[in-house]
Amino acid sequence: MLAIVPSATLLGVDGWPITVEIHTSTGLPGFAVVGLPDASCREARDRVRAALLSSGLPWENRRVTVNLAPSGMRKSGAGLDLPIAVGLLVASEALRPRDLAGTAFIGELGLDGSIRGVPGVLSMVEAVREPIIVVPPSCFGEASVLGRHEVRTAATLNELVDALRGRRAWSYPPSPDDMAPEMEPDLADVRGQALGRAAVEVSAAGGHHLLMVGPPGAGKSMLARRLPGLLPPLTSAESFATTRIHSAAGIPLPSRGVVQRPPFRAPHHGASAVSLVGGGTATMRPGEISCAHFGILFLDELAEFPTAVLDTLRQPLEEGAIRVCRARASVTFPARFLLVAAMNPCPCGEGMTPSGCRCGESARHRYSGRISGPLLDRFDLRVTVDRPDIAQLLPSGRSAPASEESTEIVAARVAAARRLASERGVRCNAELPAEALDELAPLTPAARDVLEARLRQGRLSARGLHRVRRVARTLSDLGGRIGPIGEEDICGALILRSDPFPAQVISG
Amino acid sequence: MTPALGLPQEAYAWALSDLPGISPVRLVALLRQDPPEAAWGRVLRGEVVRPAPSPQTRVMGARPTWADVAARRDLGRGWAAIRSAGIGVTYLGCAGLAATLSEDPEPPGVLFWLGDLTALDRPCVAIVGTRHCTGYGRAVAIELGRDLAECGICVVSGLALGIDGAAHVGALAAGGAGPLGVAASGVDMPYPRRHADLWRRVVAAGAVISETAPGRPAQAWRFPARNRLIAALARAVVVVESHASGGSMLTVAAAAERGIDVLAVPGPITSASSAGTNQLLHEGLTPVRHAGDVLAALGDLRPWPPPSRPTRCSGPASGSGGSRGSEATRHSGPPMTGVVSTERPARPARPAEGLRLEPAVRQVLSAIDRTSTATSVIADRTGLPIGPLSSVLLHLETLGLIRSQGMWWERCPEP
Repeated sequence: MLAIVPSATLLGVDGWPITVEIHTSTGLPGFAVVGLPDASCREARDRVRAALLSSGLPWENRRVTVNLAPSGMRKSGAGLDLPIAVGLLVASEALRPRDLAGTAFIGELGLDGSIRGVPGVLSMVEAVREPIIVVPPSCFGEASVLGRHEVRTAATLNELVDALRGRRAWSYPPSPDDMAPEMEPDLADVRGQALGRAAVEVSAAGGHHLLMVGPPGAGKSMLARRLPGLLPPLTSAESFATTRIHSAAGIPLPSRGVVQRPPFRAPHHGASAVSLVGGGTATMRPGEISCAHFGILFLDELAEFPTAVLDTLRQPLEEGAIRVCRARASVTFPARFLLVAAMNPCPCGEGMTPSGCRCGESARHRYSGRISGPLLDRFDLRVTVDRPDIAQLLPSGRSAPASEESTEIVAARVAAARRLASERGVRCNAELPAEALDELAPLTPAARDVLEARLRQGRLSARGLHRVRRVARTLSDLGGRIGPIGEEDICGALILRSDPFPAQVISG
Repeated sequence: MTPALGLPQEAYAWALSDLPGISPVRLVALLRQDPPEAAWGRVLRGEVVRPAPSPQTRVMGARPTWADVAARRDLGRGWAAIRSAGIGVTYLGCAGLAATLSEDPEPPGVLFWLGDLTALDRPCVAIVGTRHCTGYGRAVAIELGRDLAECGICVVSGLALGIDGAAHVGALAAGGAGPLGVAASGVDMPYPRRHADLWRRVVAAGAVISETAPGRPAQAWRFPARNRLIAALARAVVVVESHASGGSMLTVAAAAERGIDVLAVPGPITSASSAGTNQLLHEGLTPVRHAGDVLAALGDLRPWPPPSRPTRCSGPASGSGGSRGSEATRHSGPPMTGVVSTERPARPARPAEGLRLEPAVRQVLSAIDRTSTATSVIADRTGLPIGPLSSVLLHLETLGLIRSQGMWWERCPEP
């Protein structure tokens, strides 16, 4: 007896259609899974058997061969449990082949017969060609995002069999309430920090990578965590792409099944290169940089990350994607993220004031050497963040605290600047092509002079010039100054891109 | 035997100093006995015996005698290379060797130099200290180096990492008297490599001298010997930061033997980098608070700081960052060659007055300390938006009133 059940598997963040073929015959009882299953896939045998038995469904002691076609491709994960179980039920004639006409199945089985969620359902649904698809109840939201299939769900194997046989109607999980959006921290909480606030705003508006240097407790992380709130919500295409990745990485999705706010990922500095860029031997899992797709990757204590790990970021920063190659497969993960990093000026952290630093010169030299030049070059915005004045932290009764601008006000300016960028045909100014800068970011004569002087002094490279012009464009967009870029905006862009590790610090 | 080549005495002095394993004492003894050419002749004739290796050294293979080495040496070519590299040579008994050195109890046998040795004609002050300095030590070394160089003092130091290098950086920044670097390696062999650029700048502004033959790297025993040379050259030795033991303490001991004034910069009693200097102060040495204290030790009793300049702790005490001098301008004019001049030169008008700066520009200028001030601090102090602030900062930099060190700014002495 042969049963054929369509399904899908996940490789990286992409789904691939899989046909599960189940053959039962007389002979020595046994159960073999062939077609390059990985360990979790091979264990399906034990889960399926237990699930069928505890659901009171027939399990025949026959020779069973399960083939996962195409057999040359590596299958991973427990999502094939459900199609195997359904195939066995067809083989044991508990289901009729016509019950599953045009239906694909994805899901993991519990030993009690319950149907559990698996990662990457959105991508797998995308790969499925059948018009109907059965997914676990917890994945119903994301499976419905695409809207190309009729999505069905069942909580247990028994419920599924009954629904397939037409003995009961398909149940649908209640559509989740529109929950109030999660409260993001407000920029008004940050006291002082004029430069830091400006840098965060420019970074959000232009998509410019940001490096903050300052002593511990100065408020670098505080500023970084307020950046997602400044970004506009994701467009539907961006939201779809990000949801796919989050689903594949197994990150819990919001209740509606779609990621709508730009993600904020902050891996600890103990992260390995693979965990950042993605990969792995058995499963190709997207890394933190892909999880931050269309969002923010925040690297706190940048200098504590191993240099080799940091340098893996260089290619994705340029290309917005990373290609991970392994012996068995190579996968491209999208990774278009805004890099925000924070670090101390020196190992003791007090290097902002020359007399406060306790570090030896060689220790400072080693510390600055941990950030490679090419990586440092990719930060368009590099600013110091110093501890705020005591007066700003503890306002006295007499002088009411000067209220700082809230996230709402700044986000409105950011949104306006992003609209201007999209009129130029890019998502944000950081993506302006270099060859179009003369047209899209022309310079006033005064601004030209400033840049020319810098270039002549050898303090600005050709690439640096492009980066400075893009940041200046963002500055003028934020200020509502349309037209050629003025001197102040160019100066601002130059100051916002200072070198945190000058070759010879004269006084410190 | 090599025929007579018509080479100058200096060439033979170089050749003698380059003999393998010759000690400074041996070299001095040779040169006290004969002029270099005659001494070289004695070496060639085998009359000067190479000392037996110490029992600790393992000798691999046959050890050539000095006569063998000397016979194989191509003096003419080697000398031409030294000449073309612009390296100067002088030796004990030659008029070119500074009197302070030739009269020293442990004089150098042969001395090589790159740059302009007239730096030595000025009064010399050695600024020494640990290689593992703190930010405080570095800032003080730079300040002392800068202020002393501005007063026409030749700052002598060892070009090492840490305090030594910082003292040179400060002296170079002043643009006054050129500094003197005393090296343990050959003068054409920058060490440490990280200071190769500093080395070049010291050569350009002042001079680098060494007892080691050109082309030879520094051996460990050369460093204490170099320190005694620093002490011998200086009229006063300032220790900025030193651990309880270390090279700076050897310099101090060498200076004490010669009766040269030693001064020390006080540091936190909790800092290991200041343990040595604090110990020296406890023993009764003069503490250094600023360059004026060093000048006083040399007999120059001018008031310090110069009246046009704020003290380190003056200025409106607002903001979080300590000092903020509002009138940080310094005297310029021709560098004074003699220290013992009690007359102060007439000071030119402050540049800020001459330029009629706008209020915003003044505001930014007054928010910048003499020591480095972060851009973020300037932004918070002035309250200016980033665009206008940046424009003012770059404008002030173009005028030469401030200079940038990456994300930090500091006031300049007048250009």
